[in-house]
Amino acid sequence: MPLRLPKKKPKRWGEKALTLVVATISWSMLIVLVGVIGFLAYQGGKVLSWAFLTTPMREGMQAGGIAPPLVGSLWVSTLALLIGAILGTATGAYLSEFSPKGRLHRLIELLVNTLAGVPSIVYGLFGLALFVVALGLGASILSGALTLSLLSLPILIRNAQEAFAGVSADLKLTSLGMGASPAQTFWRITLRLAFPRLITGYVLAMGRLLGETAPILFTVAAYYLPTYPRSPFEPTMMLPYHLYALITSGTNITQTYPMAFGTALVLVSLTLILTIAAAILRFRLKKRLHV
Amino acid sequence: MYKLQAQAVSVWYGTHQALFDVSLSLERNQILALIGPSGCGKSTFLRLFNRMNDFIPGFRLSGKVFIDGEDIYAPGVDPVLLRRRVGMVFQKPTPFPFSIYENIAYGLRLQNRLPEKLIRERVEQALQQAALWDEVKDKLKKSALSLSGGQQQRLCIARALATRPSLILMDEPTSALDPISTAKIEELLTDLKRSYTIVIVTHNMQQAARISDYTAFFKDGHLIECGRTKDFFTNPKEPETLRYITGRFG
Repeated sequence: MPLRLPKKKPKRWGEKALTLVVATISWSMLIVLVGVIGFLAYQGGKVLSWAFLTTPMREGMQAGGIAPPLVGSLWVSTLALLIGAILGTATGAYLSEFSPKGRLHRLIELLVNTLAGVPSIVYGLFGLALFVVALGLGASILSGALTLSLLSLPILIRNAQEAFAGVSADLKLTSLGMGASPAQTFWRITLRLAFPRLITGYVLAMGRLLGETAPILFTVAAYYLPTYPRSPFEPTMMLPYHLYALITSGTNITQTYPMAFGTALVLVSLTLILTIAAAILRFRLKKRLHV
Repeated sequence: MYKLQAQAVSVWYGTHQALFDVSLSLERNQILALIGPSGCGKSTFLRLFNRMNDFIPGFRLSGKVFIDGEDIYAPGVDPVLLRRRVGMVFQKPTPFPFSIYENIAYGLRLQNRLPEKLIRERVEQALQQAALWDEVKDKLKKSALSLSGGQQQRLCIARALATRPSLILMDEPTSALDPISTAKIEELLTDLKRSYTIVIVTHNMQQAARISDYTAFFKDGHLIECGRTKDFFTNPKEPETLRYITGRFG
């Protein structure tokens, strides 16, 4: 059989057509994405300034900055991530490393998957009923953070499960073979080696939490409250809801429109900064771990 | 008293029986080689002695297994404590992605808090025993993954030695290594015999003949024959052993 290609290359039209279609789709998606961010940057850039980030709104939201909702959003999502990360990582660890793989295991997995499909407004309603009313926490940072942490649980559980399962089984067995208890093996090998992947999951979850609107509507977000929260039991303004308010409730749209884009730009930038920070952190952790 | 002893041991994984009524004993400071075709139960037999089979779902055992006269499957025996007294080396080198130093210290740090000075001494001793000290003494803080395959396996041996077990189990420790690294490890085993009892699973009959004092041949979960290595290979008693060592199957 001749291994040399014939002088005249075969045309392979089907292959070329497929490549063309796939490439076109990928590039157009990229263009759309760049377009959205570019548009946001262009519109939002008009109002973006240090003062916009650091001062409260004035004149009934028609002027001033977005500091209160910015601070509020960071407060609520950080607290939500903290709660969600602890619960989600613990559940993921149990499912991946400790639970007997029987009926209960499958039931929990089914529940987690179902939770992932619940619309976020339903979480909002649940948070209102449980945290705000039944537990008497009122519309507060704590209520909002608890609600958001529930929303983030399925992602964080799945992420933790995958991070722990991704640690080499040989290394876990080696550790057990040396007389490390399952708990010691978890703390010293599994958790340590899964850490870079866990971090990535936390940051992605945080990015998603920052943008959630429905779960915060009834549980924490204030429509207009140009002060900074002093305790987790107070309500606060938040960026997504503030954006909604700027677009829908203003009477002077020429003034609030650019402010809405500025708010959106800040929201997107926060996510972007988090993603980059996660990548750097992951890189440095991996280097320190000799992975 | 025998260093280790198996009395009429049968093992099941679920409904599959992996070992049938195996009895065998070994004196201290000897090397026992386990040979036989793939799936014959030699690894299962090896892992009885540090209860690593306990991790396999559906594992059941009948019969008794003793180390230093103590029944290690008796109720009340903590397998975690047992495994601290028995070193194990796997087929593929399994260094942790930590520094060379931290790899060796791993087993020591599992127990009561030892002073760092003592840990440092033990790390050096273990590396010397594993004939790796001269190669790594200047880069103990470097990643264990930067070592070559043969060095990594000697690191794993050093790691197993650091906690001073009296029994070492090896599951085909050289099958992933080149001939020169293999020769180094075989030489090392002969040295280690002075202070340790070693059970080694090997695919390589010549290796069994070179390094072991006793050889046990398994087939389909049965112990076919066990005897002094020099008699085993020159004058086997069972026709099946003869067929195996002359290369007619497996």
